[in-house]
Amino acid sequence: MTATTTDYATTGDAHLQAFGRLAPGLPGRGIDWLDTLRRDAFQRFKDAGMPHRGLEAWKFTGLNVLAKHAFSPVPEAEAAAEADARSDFGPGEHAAKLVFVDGRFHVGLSRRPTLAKGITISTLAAALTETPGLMEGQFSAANGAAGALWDLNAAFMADGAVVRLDPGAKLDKPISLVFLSSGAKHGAHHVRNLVTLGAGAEAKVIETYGEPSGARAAAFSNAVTDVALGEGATLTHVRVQDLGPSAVHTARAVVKIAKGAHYGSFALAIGAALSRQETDATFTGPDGVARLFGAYLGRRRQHLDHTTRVDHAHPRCRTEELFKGVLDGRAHGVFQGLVRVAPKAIGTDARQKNQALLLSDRASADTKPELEILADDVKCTHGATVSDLDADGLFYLMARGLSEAEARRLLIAGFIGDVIDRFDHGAVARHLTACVARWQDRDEGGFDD
Amino acid sequence: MNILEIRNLHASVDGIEILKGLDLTLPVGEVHAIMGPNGSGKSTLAFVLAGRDGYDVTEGEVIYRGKDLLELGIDERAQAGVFLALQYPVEIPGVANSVFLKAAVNAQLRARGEPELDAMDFLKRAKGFLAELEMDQEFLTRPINVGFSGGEKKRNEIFQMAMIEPTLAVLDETDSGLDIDALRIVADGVNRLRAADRAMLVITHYQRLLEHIVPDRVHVMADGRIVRSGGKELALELEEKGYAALNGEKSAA
Ligand SMILES: Nc1ncnc2c1ncn2[C@@H]1O[C@H](COP(=O)(O)OP(=O)(O)OP(=O)(O)O)[C@@H](O)[C@H]1O
Ligand SMILES: [Mg+2]
Repeated sequence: MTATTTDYATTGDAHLQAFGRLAPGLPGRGIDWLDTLRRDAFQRFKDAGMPHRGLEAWKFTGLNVLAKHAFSPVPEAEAAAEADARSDFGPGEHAAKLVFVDGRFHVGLSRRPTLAKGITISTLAAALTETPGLMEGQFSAANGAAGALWDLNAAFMADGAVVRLDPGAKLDKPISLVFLSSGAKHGAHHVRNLVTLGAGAEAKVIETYGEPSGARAAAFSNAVTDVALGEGATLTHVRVQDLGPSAVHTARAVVKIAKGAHYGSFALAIGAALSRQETDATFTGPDGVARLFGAYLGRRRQHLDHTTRVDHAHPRCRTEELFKGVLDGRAHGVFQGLVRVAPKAIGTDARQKNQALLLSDRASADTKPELEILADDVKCTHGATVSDLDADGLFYLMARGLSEAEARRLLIAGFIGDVIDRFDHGAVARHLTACVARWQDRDEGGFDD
Repeated sequence: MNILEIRNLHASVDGIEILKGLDLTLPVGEVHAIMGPNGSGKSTLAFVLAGRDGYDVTEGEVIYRGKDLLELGIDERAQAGVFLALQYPVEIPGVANSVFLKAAVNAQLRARGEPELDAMDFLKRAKGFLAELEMDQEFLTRPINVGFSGGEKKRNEIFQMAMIEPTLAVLDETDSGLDIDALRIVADGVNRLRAADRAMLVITHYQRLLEHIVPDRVHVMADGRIVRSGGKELALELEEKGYAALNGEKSAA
């Protein structure tokens, strides 16, 4: 009933072919605005094709792997119903946990207790069926060829999490969203999450992209999370990419920050063959705060990309960006950060920093900061460093009796621990620290080429 | 028994010879002071003893408790009981003092085949020494030496030494940068560690420290060699006359 992946030369072809066949089965079919949105997105993707290195935004990250193998959208029937529910994906402590396997909601692995009034946690498929009216206008859309993957997501999005907090609602424990790739080879899935916080609401959302141990799924996951923060709302948004050694992962958070709202983001990449985590934040009112933090730890031939764009369109907003990377083997880290300051965005304060630690001669890091400043009276800075493991530190620790391996481990944990420490001091920090420790413990054998 | 015997030690850094035939014997139970002008090679000696990369021994030998010290790696020396309090302690962001120190203490206990300290015992011991050194408990959670004042860094070295209980402690200008009260506190910490089965090498520029930590012998180092040795009164003489007046010996170039 479904075409096998070998029928097409490339992932793009596979998607072009599949749209006509799969579209009727995608959730929300028959809702006019959604059908139009999908069709337009598909058309744009058809015209632009996959992003390529010729585009400025993709200069450091090539997607050849998507042309080499045809990753095909996984139809619902094929979405693996069963997955080794490795329970250590996501934080141990959570208010609710939604698990998606190959991009579809998995009831059995999820946990959805009744939450306080004003807090709704649902799925995209359910929300489009049950409350389509509430969904209109909630989906971000791409503009330009650089956003082709975003369009691809819009055309094929089949499920995802919908988190909504009414004004003033507060949730202390994190909401855990777990996206597993099952063993389906060269499957592609496009989840779309919506996180909407009313005025003054507060929440923590932790997305984890993983793969059951031993699944070795060569899967392509292309996720988009649309975040809308009302006035004075506060969101802590963590994305952990902990996929297996053959995975290809692209993700984008599209964030709207209203007056006085606070968006804190931590994007951690510790898995996948190739991953690109993008953050696209826009201040829609004055006095907002965006703290974009992240870390990438790679070895072998892993390619880990963090790309951020922040639009300062209103006065007195503050952006603080700090990314740190640890690269071993032939791993390649990329950080790109664009900050745009519109003429009326006076009093903007934007700081950006990327620091990479190279553990091997063949590892490499690229940084591209871009500041487009059209306003007066702004503070904008950026800085990037690439360094080796500190020889003085190594000596100091070993002179106190630590073996070289222990000393290196501690220095690496400390290097990344520093950025975690600046982001959070509670359960979120502990979870991120545990993820980093898992990377350090991991058998390196799996990340071969 | 001698804890340390250094014979005709030559060592180079970046191909430049810094230690030029140094002899020194440190018997068990004793504290020796090393004084000498800037650049005479005191820190170089300390780093050679600790095994730091880039400090190449080209001639001579160092015998630690009857065994060849130079054969051991940095961590093995530490595990064998050699401790160096650095002239310039290193800052390590992101690593809490306590995490580091617990790993260090346990690495040494492990190497000696003794049971490791659990979190409770560790904390109890650490708090005891912090109190003795009049250090705030928050030092434990702060990243190693980051943002510490000069004096706090030196105290932290002594705190580590107290926790680790080395057999041979080499203190490289631990007194520099300390105010008078801190000097007394640090000296008390060092004195508490004096024991019949240990030995210490105290590198200093000031007689002042040696009033608190009274040495068994004082050595004067110049141009990569020990040029004179004597009792504790030698330190007083140096303080009075300066290095230039050392009979017939030239100071470091
Ligand atoms: N990495 C290096 N490269 C070149 N020369 C070095 C290096 N390290 C030390 N030296 C030189 O070796 C000599 C001895 O230095 P050392 O630090 O051992 O002196 P010191 O006696 O400890 O001096 P101070 O009293 O100032 O601490 C100096 O001339 C110094 O410049
Ligand atoms: Mg010195």
